[in-house]
Amino acid sequence: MIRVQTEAFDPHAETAAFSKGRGDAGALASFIGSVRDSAHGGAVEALELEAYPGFTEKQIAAVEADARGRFDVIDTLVIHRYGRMAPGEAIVLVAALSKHRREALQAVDYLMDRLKTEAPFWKKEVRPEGAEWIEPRADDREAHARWINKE
Amino acid sequence: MSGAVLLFGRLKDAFGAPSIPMPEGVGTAAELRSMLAHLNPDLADMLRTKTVRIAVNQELVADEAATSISPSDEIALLPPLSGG
Repeated sequence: MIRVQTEAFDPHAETAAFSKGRGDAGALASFIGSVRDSAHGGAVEALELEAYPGFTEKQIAAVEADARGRFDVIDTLVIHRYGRMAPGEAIVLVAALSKHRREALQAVDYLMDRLKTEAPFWKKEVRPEGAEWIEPRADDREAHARWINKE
Repeated sequence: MSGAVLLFGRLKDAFGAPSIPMPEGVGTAAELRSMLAHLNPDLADMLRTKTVRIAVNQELVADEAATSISPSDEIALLPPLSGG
């Protein structure tokens, strides 16, 4: 399941709801990404993410479908926020349920590597001295590439 | 041709608007790119770079010269993604 929203969410409550009643799952893996209070050696007051409603959901759904096809998981969850977020707030939650740990852990790792480079968001860091658009980092592209090289 | 071109990220800031009118006489995605660069010389370098992608009806365009666009299409200009 995927959700793209502007509202703040509680990643722990969402993870608990996602895994509730799944007696068939022996493993739950999750990743929570949050806004950092500093970047590039300076303070960050807020992060602003812009989405392209409709398109953003579609691209994330395609990444989720790839993960479901690639790993033997029972279910996956992606919740991604956009809009203005303060340091400490959750931006993204990715979770996977599987029978055994390896598949859930790998599915979460794979989903995050793909989302970091392919999720259609445009990110602006708001700092005391002004705001700046951020583009993918080289190490994010390399993290994505390591999955392609395995294919 | 009527319609609008949706803008995101740094392109939205550069144009100072979330969308711009579709220029006249544009038949393909490639023509749209060159026409916008021609009409906005200050932004031509940004508009010509292939890291700016065009989406037609929420599909990323692979071959811009072969992709025709019509007034009813939803067109968007997407600067490099920041990722999740």
